[in-house]
Amino acid sequence: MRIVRGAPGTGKTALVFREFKQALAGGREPRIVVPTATLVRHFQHELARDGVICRPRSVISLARFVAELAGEACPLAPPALTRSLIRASLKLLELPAFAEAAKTDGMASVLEETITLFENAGCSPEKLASRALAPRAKAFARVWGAVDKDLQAAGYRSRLAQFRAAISNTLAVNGIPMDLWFDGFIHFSQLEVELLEALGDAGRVVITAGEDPDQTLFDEVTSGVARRPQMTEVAADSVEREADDIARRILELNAAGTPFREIGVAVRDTAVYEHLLRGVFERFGIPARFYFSRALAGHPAATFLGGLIDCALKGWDHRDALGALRADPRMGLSAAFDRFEFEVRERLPDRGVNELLKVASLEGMGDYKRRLADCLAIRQWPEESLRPADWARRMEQLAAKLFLPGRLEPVASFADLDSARSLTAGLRAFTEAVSDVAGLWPAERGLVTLAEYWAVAVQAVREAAYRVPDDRRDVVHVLSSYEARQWDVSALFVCGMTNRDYPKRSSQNLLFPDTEIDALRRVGIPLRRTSELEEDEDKLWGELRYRARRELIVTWPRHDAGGRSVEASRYLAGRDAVEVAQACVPAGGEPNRRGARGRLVSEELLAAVAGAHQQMSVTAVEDLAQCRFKFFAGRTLALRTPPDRPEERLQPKVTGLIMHEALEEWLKSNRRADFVALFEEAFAKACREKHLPPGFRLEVERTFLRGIAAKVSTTEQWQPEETRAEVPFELPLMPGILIKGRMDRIDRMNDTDCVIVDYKSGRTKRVESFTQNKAKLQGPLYALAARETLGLRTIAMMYVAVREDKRFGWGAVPGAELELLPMPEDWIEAAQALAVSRVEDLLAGLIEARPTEEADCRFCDFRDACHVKQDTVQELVQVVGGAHA
Amino acid sequence: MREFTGEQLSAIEYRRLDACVVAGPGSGKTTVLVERYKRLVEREGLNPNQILAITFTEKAAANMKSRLAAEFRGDSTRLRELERGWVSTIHGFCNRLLRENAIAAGLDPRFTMLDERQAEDLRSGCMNSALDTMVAERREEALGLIDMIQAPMFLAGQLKSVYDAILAAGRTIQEVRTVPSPQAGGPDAAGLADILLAIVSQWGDAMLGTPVRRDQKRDLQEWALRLREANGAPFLVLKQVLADCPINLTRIHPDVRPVVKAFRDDALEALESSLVDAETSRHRTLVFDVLELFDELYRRRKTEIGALDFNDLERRAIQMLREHPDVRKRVREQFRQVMLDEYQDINEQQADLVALIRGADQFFAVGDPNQSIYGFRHARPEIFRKYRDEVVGEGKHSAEILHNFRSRAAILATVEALLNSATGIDARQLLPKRLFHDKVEPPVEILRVLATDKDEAPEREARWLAYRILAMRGSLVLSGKDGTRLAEFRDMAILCRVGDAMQPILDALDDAGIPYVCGRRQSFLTQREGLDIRAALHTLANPRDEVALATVLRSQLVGLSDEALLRLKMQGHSLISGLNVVGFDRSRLSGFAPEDAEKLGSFLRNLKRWRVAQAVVSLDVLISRVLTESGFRWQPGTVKGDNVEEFLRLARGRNAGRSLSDFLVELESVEDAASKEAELSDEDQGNRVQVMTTHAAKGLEFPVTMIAAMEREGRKGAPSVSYTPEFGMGLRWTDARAKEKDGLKDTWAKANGDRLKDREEEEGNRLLYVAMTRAEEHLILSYSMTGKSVGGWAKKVDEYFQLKGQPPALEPVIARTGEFAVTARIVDTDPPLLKLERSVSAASVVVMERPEVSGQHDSTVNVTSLVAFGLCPRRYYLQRYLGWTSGRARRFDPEELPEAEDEVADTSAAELGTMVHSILAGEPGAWPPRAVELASVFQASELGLRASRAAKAEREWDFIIDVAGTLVRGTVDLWFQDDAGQVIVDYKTDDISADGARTKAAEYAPQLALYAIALGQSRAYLHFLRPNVVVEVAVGEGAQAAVRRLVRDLGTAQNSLQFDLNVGDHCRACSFYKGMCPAESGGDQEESSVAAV
Repeated sequence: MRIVRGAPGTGKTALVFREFKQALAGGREPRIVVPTATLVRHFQHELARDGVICRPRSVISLARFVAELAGEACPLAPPALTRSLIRASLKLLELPAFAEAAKTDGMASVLEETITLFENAGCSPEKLASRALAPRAKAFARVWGAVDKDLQAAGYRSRLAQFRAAISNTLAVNGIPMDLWFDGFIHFSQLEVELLEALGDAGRVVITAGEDPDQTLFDEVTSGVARRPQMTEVAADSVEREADDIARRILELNAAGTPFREIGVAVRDTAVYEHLLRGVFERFGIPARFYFSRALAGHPAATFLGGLIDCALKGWDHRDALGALRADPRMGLSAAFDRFEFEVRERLPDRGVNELLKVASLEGMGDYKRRLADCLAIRQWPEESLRPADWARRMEQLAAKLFLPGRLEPVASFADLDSARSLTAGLRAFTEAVSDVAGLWPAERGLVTLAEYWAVAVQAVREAAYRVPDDRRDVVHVLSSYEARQWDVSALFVCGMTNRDYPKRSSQNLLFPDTEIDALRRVGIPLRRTSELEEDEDKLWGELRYRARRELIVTWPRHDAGGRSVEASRYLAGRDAVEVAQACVPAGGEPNRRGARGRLVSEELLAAVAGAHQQMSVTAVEDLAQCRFKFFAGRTLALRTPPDRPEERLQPKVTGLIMHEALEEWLKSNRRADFVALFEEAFAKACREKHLPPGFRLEVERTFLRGIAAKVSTTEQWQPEETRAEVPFELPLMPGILIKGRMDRIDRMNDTDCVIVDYKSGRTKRVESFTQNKAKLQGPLYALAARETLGLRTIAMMYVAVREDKRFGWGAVPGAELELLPMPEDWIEAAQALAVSRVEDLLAGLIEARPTEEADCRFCDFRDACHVKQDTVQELVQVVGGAHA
Repeated sequence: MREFTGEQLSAIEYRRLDACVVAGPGSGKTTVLVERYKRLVEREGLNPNQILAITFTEKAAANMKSRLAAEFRGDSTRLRELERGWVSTIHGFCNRLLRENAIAAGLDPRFTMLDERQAEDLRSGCMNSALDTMVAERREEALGLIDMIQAPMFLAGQLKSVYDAILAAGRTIQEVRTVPSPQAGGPDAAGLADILLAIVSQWGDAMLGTPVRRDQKRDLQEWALRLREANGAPFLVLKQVLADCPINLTRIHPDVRPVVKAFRDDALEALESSLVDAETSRHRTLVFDVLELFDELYRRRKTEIGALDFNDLERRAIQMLREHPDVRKRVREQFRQVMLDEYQDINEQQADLVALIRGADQFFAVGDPNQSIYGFRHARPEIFRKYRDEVVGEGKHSAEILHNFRSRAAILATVEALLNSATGIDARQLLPKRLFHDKVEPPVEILRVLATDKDEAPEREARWLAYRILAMRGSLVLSGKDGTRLAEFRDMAILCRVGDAMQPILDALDDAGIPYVCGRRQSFLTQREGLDIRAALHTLANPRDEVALATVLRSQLVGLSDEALLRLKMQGHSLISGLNVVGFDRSRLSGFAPEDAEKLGSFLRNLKRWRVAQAVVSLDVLISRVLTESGFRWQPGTVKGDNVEEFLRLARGRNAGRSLSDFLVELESVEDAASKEAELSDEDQGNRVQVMTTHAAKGLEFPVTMIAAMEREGRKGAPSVSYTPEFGMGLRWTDARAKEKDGLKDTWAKANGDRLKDREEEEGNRLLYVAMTRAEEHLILSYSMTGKSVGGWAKKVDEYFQLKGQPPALEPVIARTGEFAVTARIVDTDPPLLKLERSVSAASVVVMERPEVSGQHDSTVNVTSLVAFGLCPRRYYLQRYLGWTSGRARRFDPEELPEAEDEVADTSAAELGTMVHSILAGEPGAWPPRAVELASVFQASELGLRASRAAKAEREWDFIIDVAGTLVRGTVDLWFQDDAGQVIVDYKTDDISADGARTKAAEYAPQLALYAIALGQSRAYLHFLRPNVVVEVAVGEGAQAAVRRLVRDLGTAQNSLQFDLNVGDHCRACSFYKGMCPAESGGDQEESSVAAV
């Protein structure tokens, strides 16, 4: 066994390639073993492009190499199964040492990590259990032992067992001594060292290593001349500016002749930088390949297929069902489903499949009912019990049957390609996840229910990840700093170079803190201490520092993604030599010119408007008086808002309807009926029809309104000759325009006079404002209607703010103590004139957004669409980039 | 070497026992803490791991860490140790402590932290559930409660506040439930009647000199008898009797008035509250039950998702330290020094925590009771005072650092003048220490704005502030490091007591063109960009949300004309149906104006793509894509840019996997939360005026400080549900029958009300103290008023400087009081119009051209893929490029090609083929007879026999070669070399006839040509095993050139994303034929579409 020792960038990999080629030329079957799959492909490509014709498997990852050596009898358990077994053991053993933490997901993950820690040290559960241990360590040993046993029962081996098998097989591979080069490793665990030693005994083994004096296991050989890329430090105010600056520099490098594929970006904090860089690169038009997995949770496959199974188990709650069905790749984005969704949302909360099918049968749902029936076909599953493997197969079949899109045309861009490939990649990950856990149940366990199986599978789905294939040639490589450490590019960016991530702090193992690790080391279990993990960090930086052939650009933000101050990594020289990130924007993409607004000029459209508005309600006229655009949006375009959420349905609009209904009935009874009883009836009816969810808020509102109802019926101050409720009228406003309305109440005081009453259930203050509001034409228009259609003179018109039983309006009622405003002389005429003028404007095509009462805009449904508050008032530039002075 | 004052040095160097240091504003407290830390490390040899330094805010912790890093720069060992040091907020400390001891704490070791908004959302959900459960399970009781409690619609919110307060005080609901009435044991109605009778009976003739007084006595006696009789009567009866109490102090002899007044104000109110207690006890029980249920639900929910809120951090840390003496001992032994800043702002729970972690005489607390302003977060300045008293009492170290290194003397004098005698303030002299340049005009300015209209007043004041900012900018001389300089916007800050006073100020700054930054500025969600992005997202979620759709169509993202909107609607019966119609039939676009048609067409194409993408790309990437592809550009540093980036940041968030619909719901809670002030990051804010509340200004300093809207009052009165650690939970009730409008207080509410009122007043004074002491060189005290007098902080200013009644004047006057003078502007008109020129300096932003991108073909290609592409590019696209298969999905193999497996109509046939290949590769195994039979067909064939005899033979020989710049991978079933030369063989298990085999061979020809490229000169054969037909395939130069062309064609197709359809007989065997492939026309259009439009 040889070791090629040398500082990073001294040409160790080049030496490996050279020797590999020589061995190949000599008719031998050499192999290069590297730590990651990404590196495998990278090296394979390097060799092929160098004209070397060799078998791809000549370059192999350590994991696969070990698996190959160990043979098929030693398959490694899928991680999802291992985790499931850990959870199951934790649950079964109920270990007091883990207390409440034993019930948590995080605990399973701690145990998994700890198992790896011990396996790397070459320690078996039996060996650990044979030592005197503290209670928590003892508990760990028990769980580990149980998991190990279960793995074997399921036909799998632990990583330790697989290594052991590989070690014992080192001599047996075809009987031919192996030519092996191990390259790209920062550290070898004890287990790996044992393998290397065995391999060294059996064949020719060359290992590359850094200049770490601790690695005394191997012979020292040689070192080349270190590569010295030019290093630039860049500080940015924020992560956004940092990412922008990286994009700028990449574009400059590319413009200067560096192909994108010769540029890499090493990322440590993927949570911050992965999406940020994706977005920024896309915006600047930089093609990039991201070597990261994505969480399966939230993927349409998990949402749709997993959601359907969840729904089947939980009784098809409609809110959940909508979430699942929306992710259906065939019809989840269809117009029919959009309609279906809104229809179901109108009826929430609800559950059950029959109701869903009923909605899908409504007009306008197209073929959705058939599709829905396909999706609901699994509703019988919860009744069944199957063998775990059969459940796995069923779920795979479900996926194969349902998770298929409709017709697919080629995508328009590589961004779209990524989306399209995500679907298939996620689907695979889903089927793998749900089938991997089948091994959790021992063969003798027999049948399990869907609930039992899914409880485990769903956890696997939640934890699973998928990778979207991307093999484009000329792209910037964005990869983790761990993987980037063996990459060979012309220019490498290392972003997020803060003291939080470089070095990354390692926490002590929760079950075996360093003091206990020291004790175990003394008895021959060489576990790694936290400080050793931290030394790996120094080595990692050492590797990254020399990855680029020409340029290394390290960047860091002065403030993290949350705006908090952060310090540069101590690996950096200091702040004196730094460049400051330059603010930049991508060129092109001319903004859309704003289309003509506020005016219709086409004769065809004007005719359409005239045709559509030959009849108007009083409220519509009020809308027009308030704002022409409000009318256009609400009445001409008749824009519809989405259904309210159940908890939001009890709005003033609804309570107003309730009160109006009760009032109508009460007035019909000539005010003799029990108003509170009528109110209760109306309220109950609204609960049913509007699907108002029961609960505290409903009861508070009911109690409050009941109180109002009690007041309304007891505060009548005058006695008319006749009271009429909900009195309809039609009033020609101008030639061709008819106003239609319905007065809440009109009291005929005598043959000539009347009092008009309109009930308002909104806030009293707002009702009060109606008398000052120029756009509120209801009062005078009702008075006009009374005059023109009933021949009555309005001596008083009032709005009753029912919440506080207050009256606001104009005129006077004989015998009643009311504080109304005097009736203006030209009251009716002025309102009529305003209405006519607004209608004339409308017919002439004037639809601009200009509210009469600006304060009322906040109640307008179309306030976001109208753009009255135009593009941001000011564009005052914050000094950015280099202009800090 | 830095110089320290004697006071500072004493604080820095004191070691022996616990210490308590009062550090006034601007006294260099952080410098002292940093120096102390440094000396503990350098001189005492402490490892940073042994020092716990707790600051009040994350910003302060970052600042301290940064200064320590600067102190140790160059010493890599120290820096390494410092990285593991314990400098953080109290929450940061608890977080780390719990993570390192998660098992002892009984927590999920990977617990996540809920931010305030997430916690609030969760709390709201749980509180609503608790209340709904109460209604569902105890309906009658619940309705009774709703009927009785004051403002039941606010009950949920108030109970949440009380819950927080209870936890912050380190109590449990159960403990609070059992807190006795503050006035337990008081007399009942009869007892009270006796007391009154006893008082009245002592009034002799001297007291009753007038008929009125005699009548009063009689009335009181009669009433007392009524009261005695009513003892034990129903609440309403008693309530009425109490309401009828005839006490009229003017009718009573002055000598006995105090006794009667005390009887009325104390004893009677106490009885009333006692009666309320009795009447409402069952409702009170129910409220506690709801709180307990909420507590249970909230805890359970957090456990389910493995999350903690900020309160949990402290609570769980305390619990762990109490229950695990071993951990407590270890922690105490670890920290040889505990330094705590802003000690005046901690609450009981935090005090408990500190007590658990600090060892004997290792505690160093710094604070200033005069700056305790976080009562609303349950801070208790008494804790600091108590500690200071203990330290003094025990002869430990107590010191005061009062030199002020921040403000001009006149500013400090004004602070003392206005506040030294105020309640809640420890009178103290502030000693100016910083040197400033000489200045003629007074550094304190009062802006007293008069108006007749109450809406107009704050707006006018805001305009005056804007005017003063513009006037001072560029003319006010400030002391710089090296001489003097002129004030810039960045030197100025406007502080308000309450956040909702800011809007007129922001409007005025907008109008004047003054750049500013405000933590509470209008949420980006409600600004144009935010509205448009939100509408776009709603449209992506479901375009039937027509308001959102119209918003997008009119927005800068599409820019459709209003005419086009109407035309669109007229295509169907609604906007959305019109859009769908045009989406299906693009010819309809011809009816639109050309510009509109183009915009609409582009939007339709994009909408379809974005909707597909939204399910699989992260939300920030989606938003960025929507904006970019809509031609929308945003520039860093502009308001528009800030708005967009804030949106992107939120979308990026930490919960990156959430769905679009979840995000849209989240946006609503973000909008609600945005009404609270966000802490400004310490990011360089550029040259902008800072606008913030006084609370947010804590710890900051500004050359020019303007305290605005000083007439505004703080919170008045206690809420319907209140809590104080002293008295517990109080409730206010209403009784419709009794027409009690102001509510009935129970005894707890009554006691809380008094306590909270005192506390509010004290804290209000401290808040002003903090606000004024932020100023370095110039302080403006500003307020507006409509009447003759004014309230709030302005009242102090008005009274002290005797401004009340002074007439308005255009020119400022100098108001001189004592030894210093201030400038006073008393104005009743608007200021002269001043407006800053719009200053867009985009020069510092570089515009980058988008690159010409090529080379987007794959690096590698599989031989099988190439064959598939040769047959039908569209099939290749669906099957191998996208990865759709009808068979069982193969595991993704990162070491292999990122392509899907072969498309097979029948999985059993595929398995059979694999098995045959395995047998022929010599793999051992128990193979099914059919596989063995097919394998033997080859073995018995001439080629098979030649192979078995060949000198060299390779089976399943994989390779990777560079063909025309693309790496081609493949696996040769068999090649061998014998005397006749090199032979390549590929076995096929296709179920075809002999004739079919010959046709099929043409399809496979490229595959063999590639093998020949990899292996060199060869003869190549395809052996179709089922019909047992061997076909020789030409693999000469011509065939190799053709396959090279095919590789290039594939690269071209991949580069351009063009995959043509090759319709032919093979389509019938293709599993995509009736599904994803458009080869067969007439499919269900809607079903086959993946987009809605």
